[in-house]
Amino acid sequence: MTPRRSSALLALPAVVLGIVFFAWPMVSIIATGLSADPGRIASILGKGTTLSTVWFTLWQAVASTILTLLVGIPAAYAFSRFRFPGRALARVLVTIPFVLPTVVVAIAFLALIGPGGVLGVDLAGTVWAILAAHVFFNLAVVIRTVGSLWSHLDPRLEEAAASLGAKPWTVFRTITLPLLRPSIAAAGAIVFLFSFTSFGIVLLLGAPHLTTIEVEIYRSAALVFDLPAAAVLALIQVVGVTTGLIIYARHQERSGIGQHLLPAVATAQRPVGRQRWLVAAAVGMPLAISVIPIAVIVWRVLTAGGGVGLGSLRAIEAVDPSVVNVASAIGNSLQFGVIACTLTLMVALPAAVVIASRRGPMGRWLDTLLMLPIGSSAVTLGFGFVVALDAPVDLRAWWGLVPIAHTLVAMPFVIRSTVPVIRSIGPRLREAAAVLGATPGRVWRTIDLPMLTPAAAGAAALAFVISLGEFGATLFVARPGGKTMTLAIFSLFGRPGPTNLSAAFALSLLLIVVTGAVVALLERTRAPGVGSF
Amino acid sequence: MLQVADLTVRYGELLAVDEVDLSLQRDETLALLGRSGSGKTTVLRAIAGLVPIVSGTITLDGIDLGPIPPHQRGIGLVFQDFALFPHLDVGDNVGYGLRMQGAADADGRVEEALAMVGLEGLQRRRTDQLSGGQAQRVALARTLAPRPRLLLLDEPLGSLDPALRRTLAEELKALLDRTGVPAIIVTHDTEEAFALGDRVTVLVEGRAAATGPPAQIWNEPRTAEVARIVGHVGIMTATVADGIAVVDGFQVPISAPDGTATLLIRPGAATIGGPIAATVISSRYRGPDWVATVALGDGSIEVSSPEPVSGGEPIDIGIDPTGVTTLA
Repeated sequence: MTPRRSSALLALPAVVLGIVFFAWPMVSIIATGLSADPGRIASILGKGTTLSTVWFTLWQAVASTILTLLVGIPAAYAFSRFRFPGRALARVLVTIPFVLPTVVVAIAFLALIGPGGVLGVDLAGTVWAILAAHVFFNLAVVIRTVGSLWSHLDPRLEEAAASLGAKPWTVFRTITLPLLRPSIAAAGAIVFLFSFTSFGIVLLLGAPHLTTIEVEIYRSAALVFDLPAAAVLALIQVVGVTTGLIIYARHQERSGIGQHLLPAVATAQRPVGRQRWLVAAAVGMPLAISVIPIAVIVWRVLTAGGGVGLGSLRAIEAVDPSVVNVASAIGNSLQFGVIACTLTLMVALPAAVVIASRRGPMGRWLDTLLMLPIGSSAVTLGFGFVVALDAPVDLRAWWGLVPIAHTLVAMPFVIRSTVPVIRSIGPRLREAAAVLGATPGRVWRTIDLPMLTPAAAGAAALAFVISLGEFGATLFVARPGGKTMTLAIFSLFGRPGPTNLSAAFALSLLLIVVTGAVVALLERTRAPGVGSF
Repeated sequence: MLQVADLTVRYGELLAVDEVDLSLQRDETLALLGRSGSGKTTVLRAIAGLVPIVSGTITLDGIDLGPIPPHQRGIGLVFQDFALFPHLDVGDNVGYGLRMQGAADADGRVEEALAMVGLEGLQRRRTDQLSGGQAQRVALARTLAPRPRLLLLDEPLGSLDPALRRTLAEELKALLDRTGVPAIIVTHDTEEAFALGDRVTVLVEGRAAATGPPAQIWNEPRTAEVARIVGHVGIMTATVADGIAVVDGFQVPISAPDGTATLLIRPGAATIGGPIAATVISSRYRGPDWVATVALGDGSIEVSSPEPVSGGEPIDIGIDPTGVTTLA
């Protein structure tokens, strides 16, 4: 018996949302880009700055990916193959950066290695700051994606190779690495995509010559009002992103094929002898990378204004509301977060149910359509809203665009994390319930629903956190009175004065605490799939 | 050639293997028999170098294996569930060990190894397209191809269905005889241990409780625990006075001090018709005959019966004293 086919109608809200607020804006951008005067397109493409922007975007993304893999893979090994004291805490700590708003990441690195930074070196405006921030942000992707496959690999395969005469390094090269390749490729593709479309981090840590396509789209559209240039850049962006997504999808499909996977508990053991040092180094490195920038923000908040204490949180109140209205930003963020969270649950969960129950082309098509926003950068999305949503009704000044943008950004993550859970409710459980006398309705109520609830709670939390931290799209679509916390941090940071700076740090800490709490909660309820990345 | 002395292995608090001694001669196959959790697989893994040992020594041809990492031991290990590399085809699986040795004519030797297990020409087959029996043979070929000095087999037939087990056990026996590789086979199946092992070591809770040729283990298991593990039923307590053991109406001379002793009455020693009045507990059809379980003392014995008998019926039986032995 195949899993019960859920009505395709359940996916309708997601499809409508995707078409109106994703596909249409994207098509509009492409149309704007292509309808520009050919000479103009040629001159945009031929400009040295465009070329160097594309080149820098590409190579920093590749470099970020390689660096993240180099630090992340040993950590994935340590987390998946060993049990050690503090493992759960360490796992939470290395995951927090991934859910931090990029603006907060950028500010943490400015405080650490920016002008007057704690480390005493000013690397702001160098590629090192950008790479470091990207590694910080993306480590969890590698540790979780690669680690989750690694923890299920049968260690006897490696033992078999060793007993056949393979040296430890040869075992890794000929057995472990090939078996892990799908997850490494998938994680690499995701890190590449995030670095390729990096916005907040590059905007704050970069320099005029160190800029990504994403940042240039924003500058062209929002600061210089050169829409054709922005559209052409967005086109290039879409091509790059699509390539990355195709690679990702291909490896995602192949992961785990033909492998005899074991429960993770069976494969983890206590490190002994030299392994202790190995584990300490493999976990210590990403832990340091994850904790230090956050600690710097905490330090800044605690020591602002001379003494040590939380007094500097008052800076939030001291900011002139006519310059940056911090209180309304907090209110807006919470409000948008709740709306985006509700919207995501209403739209993405039913779609996930449909995707999970259809393995045919329909399911795959839907899956791909709803996955697309993950790569198509937030700035492109925001820019698309501005270009497309002026007719038939001019929605561009509508406050609702912000939570809708957030929902679109969150949807792929939520679908990715819930589909495996829904699929794991095998038909046999439903059959068992049915044979025991449960009506279809009771099967749903007593089997599906209880098993789905933790995943749904995890999805809701994830959507909320993503909404809180969203920056790129919000920058485009937020109305003057509808600024969010990330926008407020960005504005405060761009203004002179110690009060503004303190307030920016205080707001950042607030976001860190909220997102950190959510991650810890997710880790405890172990909603699977956030685990996927 | 292989000497294991005082081998002790711990998993954290758990004492998995407790001062086990083993020895293996050239051309010999030793079966390690025990229930799950008795430490038999751990002994194999220790010999292969896959688990750290707490104390004891393992020497192969006079060389202490302690400091030698697994990949340099030259010991072949066939895993339960076979652990075939899923990303490599059959040929590359079998050739893996040869490539590690940098062997010349690896392709030829892969062919040879596959021919040895009756799988000629399957080199390019993917491992997930093999049947259980084929996978088992590929695992054997992979382990034998590099010509290991010692072969370790962990429940080699454990994941196969019963009919296949019997044929493959015979094949395995023939293959071991033909190649002459000394081997240690871990199993929880008495029949398998007796069929494959020249000698059998019974492990109980991490200790080697008995070692000897199959017939000796079966006839003189020495302890009740070993007797139960090899499948004996007729175990009971007897009262001993003046060299005579008494259970209900049955008397047998034994050499034991006065008091109580544990007796083992081997299957076949008891027959219907005789001086002992007993009671049937139950009976089951075995094939040509019925087997009646008959209460005797604080235990029971099995008696062959040409016709069905029901529980509760009285039955007269006789017991051949040569079929009786004492247990510790």
